[in-house]
Amino acid sequence: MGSSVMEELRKFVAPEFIFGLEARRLAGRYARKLGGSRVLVISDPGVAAAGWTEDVVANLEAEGLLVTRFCGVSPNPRDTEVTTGARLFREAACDLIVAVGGGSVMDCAKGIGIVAANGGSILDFEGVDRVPAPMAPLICIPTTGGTSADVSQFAIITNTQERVKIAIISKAVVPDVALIDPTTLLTMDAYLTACTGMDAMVHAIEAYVSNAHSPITDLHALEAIRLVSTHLRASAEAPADLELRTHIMLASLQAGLAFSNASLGSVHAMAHSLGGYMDLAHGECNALLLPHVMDYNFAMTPERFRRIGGAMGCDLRGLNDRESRSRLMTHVMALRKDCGIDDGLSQRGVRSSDLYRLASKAIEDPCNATNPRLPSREDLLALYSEAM
Amino acid sequence: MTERRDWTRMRESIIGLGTDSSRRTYYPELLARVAELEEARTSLRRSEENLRTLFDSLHDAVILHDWEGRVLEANEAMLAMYGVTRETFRDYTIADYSADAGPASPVAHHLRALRDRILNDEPQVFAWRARRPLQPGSDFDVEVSLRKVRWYDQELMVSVVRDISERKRLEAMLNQSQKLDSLGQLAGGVAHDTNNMLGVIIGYADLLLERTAEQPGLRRDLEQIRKAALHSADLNRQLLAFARKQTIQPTAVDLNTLVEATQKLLRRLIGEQHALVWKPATTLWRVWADPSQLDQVLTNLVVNARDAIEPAGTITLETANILVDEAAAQFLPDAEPGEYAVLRVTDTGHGIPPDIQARIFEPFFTTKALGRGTGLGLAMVYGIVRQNRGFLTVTSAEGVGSTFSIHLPRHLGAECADAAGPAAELRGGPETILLVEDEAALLETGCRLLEGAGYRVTATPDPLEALRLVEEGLSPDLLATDLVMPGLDGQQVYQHLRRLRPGLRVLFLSGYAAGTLDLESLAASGSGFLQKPFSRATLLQKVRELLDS
Repeated sequence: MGSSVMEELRKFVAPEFIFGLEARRLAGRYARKLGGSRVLVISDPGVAAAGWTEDVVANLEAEGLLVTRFCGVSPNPRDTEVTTGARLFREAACDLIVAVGGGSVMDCAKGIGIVAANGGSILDFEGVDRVPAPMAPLICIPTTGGTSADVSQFAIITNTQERVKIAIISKAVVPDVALIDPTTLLTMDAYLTACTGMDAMVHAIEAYVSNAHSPITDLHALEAIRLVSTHLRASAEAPADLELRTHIMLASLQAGLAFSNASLGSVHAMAHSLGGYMDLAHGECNALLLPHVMDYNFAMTPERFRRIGGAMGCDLRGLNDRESRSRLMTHVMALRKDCGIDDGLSQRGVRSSDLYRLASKAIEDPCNATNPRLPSREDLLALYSEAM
Repeated sequence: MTERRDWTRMRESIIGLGTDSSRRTYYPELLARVAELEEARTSLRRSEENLRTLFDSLHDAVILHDWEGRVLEANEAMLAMYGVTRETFRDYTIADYSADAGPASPVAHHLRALRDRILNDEPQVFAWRARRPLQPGSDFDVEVSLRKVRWYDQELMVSVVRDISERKRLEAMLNQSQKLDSLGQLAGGVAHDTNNMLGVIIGYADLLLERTAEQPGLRRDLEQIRKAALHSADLNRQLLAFARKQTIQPTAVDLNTLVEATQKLLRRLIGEQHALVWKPATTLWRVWADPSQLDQVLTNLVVNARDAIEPAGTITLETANILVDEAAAQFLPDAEPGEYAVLRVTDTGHGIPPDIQARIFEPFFTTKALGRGTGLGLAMVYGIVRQNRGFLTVTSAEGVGSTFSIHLPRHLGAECADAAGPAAELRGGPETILLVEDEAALLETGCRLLEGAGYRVTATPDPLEALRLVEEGLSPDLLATDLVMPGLDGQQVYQHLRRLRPGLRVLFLSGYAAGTLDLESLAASGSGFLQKPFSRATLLQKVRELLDS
């Protein structure tokens, strides 16, 4: 499979984004510019408790916009929440959406936008390029460093009936504006910091080894890996350090730009299945599965993994592929553990009897399409077992 | 391998190279939607135009107004009906468009009452008096249907106003016609019975006068009785004229000739202080009418005109030909479409107030001072014109004057020879006369008048008895018979007897002809007619005339 610009066309999609301290304060101005008058602000109870939701609402209202709040988004947003939000959007005759929160909130906001514009159920739009009509303008204000939903063309929603996450991949869900404000990260606790940081790391690594990577995505991916590796430990230990937070936020943005265009791999395929079944944090799932999938993929593109190692500050000089693979695994595991993400799936309630089901769901995930090594269901089953 | 191919396509889509992966423009959809909206707007506008056309095509006025009476919308019929324009109709309120029913019940009060009723959601239909705000004094009768509507989210009332002044006018016209007809019937009936009695009075007075030639005192008294009876008979004649029960002898008449012949008399009637202007039409259709009746009509109208223009003024007599078509006939009381010769009498007098115009043709209705008029003049004019199949119109404006127009249908047939013979000498004779009259008193009067003149008279009140007498051998030279009798009428008696005695002459007597007598055929067969009540002289003269013919 070709990965060079000599062999294939390459595209790079990114929304308009503003990165920097207090960027969130531009929400009202942008909402006005985008033609909004009645805004649906989507958030979750955690973010609301931290005060970010009302902070943004006040900013919108100061611009004379009418605000309707929907703060009922749970971690791993559900199809039912999308339905509720879309009904609220229509009832309040909204014309613009502002998402204030992490990946769950932003994905849910995308789902609400799709259903509000197209009708039906969010599950109707599963897959790639399945969204016919564009949605109302969407402004994303991320409050976690890692998900990158604020710049991506992805939305992941839980099908509550099947207990599985579905992926919606479409240019239609790329937000109109992302206001990326590192200040918002100050309210995250250490564990959430670790999970989201590891999420950004996984995004970057999977994008870098993706069979759809490109020179542009490579740049962002390697820089993201470097930033997370350098600052995540310190940031998890000193959550109030705004400079560290800014590094992690920038890492998340760069990882997002990379994976949104190069796509991901089997870590995400498996994490979607796992998260949908166990209702675990996405970043946590990714962190738990990452070393095993890297190990599985290493042989397909050892040069790229060596460069990843380089970016992580893991010295692989003079080591052969087998030794390098082993050293890299150890390095990643150590980073994970240092950030507080320890143990395996079994400690998180996953039983051996669940694994077949998880693998069966994971093999259906479109993220497998860009994994450097095309997995079979059995491969995924084996990888889940290793992660136990 | 199939699994592999699927992953390939998915990869291409994810990295944005799929056929549906590119950002697309929604501009065509937008344009289509705009076109759709534009089309909807056009169709809406057309629909609005169509409804507007319907709205403006309504004959009834439609007015949208609020509870305070402010007018928001109206159709073309409303503008025409109320004499306002599209620019000005909103300047007036419903109160301005309504006539006060009187100082005690102003429009506002009525509107408040209506509002309470409308609030119950029932549509209301009621009669109303409307006003043209720019034309004082032109109030008109309307029928209004009022209901509550929603109009641009506002609760309004919609009034549908129908101008019923025409309907009311036609109703009034018909009422007036019917009233005059029934008055005529009543007057005719009374006059008929009174006539018989007057015949008796005059007859006996004449007999007594014959026998009291040497008693001047008694004679003077008798003369008074006779004069009073004759005066009553004259009033009766006028009543009968009004009732169209006068026996008429119509001929072809040229109204120009008729007016010219009476001009001298008319000038004397109206006196020196008034001018009489005569404007004859150069060519005038002839009419079929009784000339003596027309004289009465003309005299009456001129006298009325004179009385209207005290102290001085002008009376204009005028003739013209007029064609009355179907449409015009609708607006003229009693008129039938056709060709008419018109005689107009116009004065420059005080005019007739509108409220009494409708009553001027009623018998005994008079505005003249007590003793100056009987109230029968115009009633007689009306009856005569109607009896001659014509109609009359009156236009009058107070302070300006009045015009009475007599319309008589054009006559196209031949002229009837005028047979006005010299006055015959009063004499009797030895001939036999069969007198049939169901009214006993009158039978006896007639019998005595005729016997007094020397005739041999066989009298009977029973028509059948009359037939029997002749069958049994009675051979009368003249049959004098009442026209209207129980059993056989006068004409039937005559027809029976003529078969037995072909040379028999006949004199019909009647209070009124009532259309039972064909006067033209009567004239041809050498028979005669005498209107009751008659004096001794007219009876004897007529009898002699017939026996000698």
